[in-house]
Amino acid sequence: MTSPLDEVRCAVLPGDGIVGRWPGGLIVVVGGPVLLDRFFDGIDASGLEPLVERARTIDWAGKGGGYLAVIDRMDGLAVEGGGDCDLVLRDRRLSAADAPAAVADPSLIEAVLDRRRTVPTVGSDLPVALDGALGLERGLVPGAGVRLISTWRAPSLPTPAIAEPPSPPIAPPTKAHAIVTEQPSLPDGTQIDASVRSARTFEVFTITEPLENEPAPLPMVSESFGRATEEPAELRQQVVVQGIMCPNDHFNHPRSRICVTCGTSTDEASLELVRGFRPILGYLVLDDGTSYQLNQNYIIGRLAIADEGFVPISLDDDGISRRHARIELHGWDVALIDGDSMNGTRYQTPDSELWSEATAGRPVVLQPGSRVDLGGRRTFTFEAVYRIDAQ
Amino acid sequence: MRRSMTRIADYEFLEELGEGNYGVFWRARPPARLGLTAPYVAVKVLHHRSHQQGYDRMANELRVYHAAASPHLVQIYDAGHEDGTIFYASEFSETGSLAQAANSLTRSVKLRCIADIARGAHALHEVGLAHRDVKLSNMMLFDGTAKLGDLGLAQILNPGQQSTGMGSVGSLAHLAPETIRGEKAGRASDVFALGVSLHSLLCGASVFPGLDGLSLRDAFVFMLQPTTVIHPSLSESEARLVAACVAVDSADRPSTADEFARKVELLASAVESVDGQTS
Ligand SMILES: Nc1ncnc2c1ncn2[C@@H]1O[C@H](COP(=O)(O)OP(=O)(O)OP(=O)(O)O)[C@@H](O)[C@H]1O
Ligand SMILES: [Mg+2]
Ligand SMILES: [Zn+2]
Repeated sequence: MTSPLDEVRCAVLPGDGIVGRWPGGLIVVVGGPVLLDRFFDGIDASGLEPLVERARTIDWAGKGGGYLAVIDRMDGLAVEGGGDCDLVLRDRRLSAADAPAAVADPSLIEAVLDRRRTVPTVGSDLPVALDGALGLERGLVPGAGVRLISTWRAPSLPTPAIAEPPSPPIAPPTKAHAIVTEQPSLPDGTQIDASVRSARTFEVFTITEPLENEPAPLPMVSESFGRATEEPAELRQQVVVQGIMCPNDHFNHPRSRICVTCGTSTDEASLELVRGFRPILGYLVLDDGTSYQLNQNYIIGRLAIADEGFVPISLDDDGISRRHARIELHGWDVALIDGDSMNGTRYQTPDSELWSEATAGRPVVLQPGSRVDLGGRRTFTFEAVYRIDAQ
Repeated sequence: MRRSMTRIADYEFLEELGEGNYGVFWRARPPARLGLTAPYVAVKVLHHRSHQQGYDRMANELRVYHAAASPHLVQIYDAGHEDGTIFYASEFSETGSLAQAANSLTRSVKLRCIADIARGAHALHEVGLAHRDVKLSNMMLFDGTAKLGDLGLAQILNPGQQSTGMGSVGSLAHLAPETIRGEKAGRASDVFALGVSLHSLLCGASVFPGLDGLSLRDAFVFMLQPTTVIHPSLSESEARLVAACVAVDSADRPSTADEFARKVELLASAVESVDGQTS
């Protein structure tokens, strides 16, 4: 009934990574916080199976991480792994790729650990291992590997002790935390198996940390009203365009019928073109109702990140490419550019039923009210603030 | 999936307090590592995952918010992310927000509360932050005083984002015209929102009833030159203050949130002296 693996003592080595142990199996996943964040993204970490399944789906090559799992299969211990995690047997150390698919007996295994780590010697490197402070019996904790100590015979584990959340020596150097929680045991004292515990990783930052820059008060309202002042250069573009002045001297689109700032009709405005800073052109209104101001360029994509001169609009959808499309402001025009997306970008002008395909890399000027479809997954509309006469 | 959340990081959720434009608030038990004596905290879990840049900007904002250290700001204890989902923990109010408590407060308490809130906003302005989301549901009531909380982080996480679509167009009533034109939020745009909040706290009605039922696009255009309708139940001096706050030209508004607070306190004293005479 009880696996021989459960009789082994597991000492966790401090470092970047995660060590999980449940009855009949254990897993070590090593790698930096970013890799681990991705590994744990959306996973149910309450048992061994989901962790092993996730580990299998990852291509570990060249990522500086890896995993190795040892699972009791009744006829012996199955071993599987990939990437930078090693299996240390009594007589040799093997990379995950070279590890045998099975090992007869847990007493043959000395350690499972990060390729970059040396095997600690019990007693000197692991002075506290034998009194249990570093012992993992069940659950998930941070660590760069485990040292298996099979000489120490644990009593069988009908009511396993709670795996303590590791205290200072074990916490990895980053601010990542791992917590192990337990559901209440049943009234008769027996424990629910598999999903007894769930473990998660999280990170907090210190809110009281001293500020990098001494905070400075916000500017007072001044004569500069109407002009965008001291905008961070990376967020706003101060672009000079030609337009007309309304009777109250507000700068407007050359064909605008009413002033955007004061609402006055521009009929009596001087039709002389003057130069001024481009005001906001309007909004992109997404199908979920979010809206973005058109006073800067955007890059739209799955988990998009900022590109030089482009502010990201990040959409969490597998059908959308990383750099699916861009919105560029050209003078008074709003242009759509497909970024060679996998599933394409289409657009529809307000007075037409027809959808046209955007050719990758070729800007299309959007008319106010135009709809745009990203890979058949998400749509948005360009809404202008100015009202202009049809051309 | 979210509904089944029972915790984030080492916070245990006890009850959902409500959902807003960009996240959900939970009443939660604080972890021991914070060393708090309070039994509960309010934890906000943001809907949208962020990228590293947005997260770093948010961390900086919250640190500056903390540095403002005003008794009129809801205290933030802790912030971070779990698997990319961002959260922060703040002081919990048993009595909820001014939006929820409005009916149970006297006019004078309402005015004193709005003055407190304005002092909190002013403290933020003095450390260089605009609140960006001043409205009744973000003003928490504590034992007769009010504290401004729930700093607007949407634009920090997603630069350029103007509305999040979860709320009704009615919430656009708090957006100052210059913000809609693309200017950065600042003292004047928070003062605008303070005026809008003061009006709805005093009479329960919006100062911009014309917004009702408009499409998002039309609502933006409306708010560029909003038509103000001040409720007849406001006194003449209350009406004057609200009208000044919602002026399209930011130079016509009280120049700081502190100046607004002083004016509101005068209104409160006026109400209190009348009450004193009649009773
Ligand atoms: N510190 C707190 N203590 C008690 N209740 C709170 C606290 N913070 C928020 N709440 C309550 O949680 C609910 C949801 O708040 P949330 O901020 O998500 O929505 P909102 O304020 O309507 O919109 P927004 O997202 O624009 O702030 C509100 O009813 C609010 O009163
Ligand atoms: Mg709120
Ligand atoms: Zn004008």
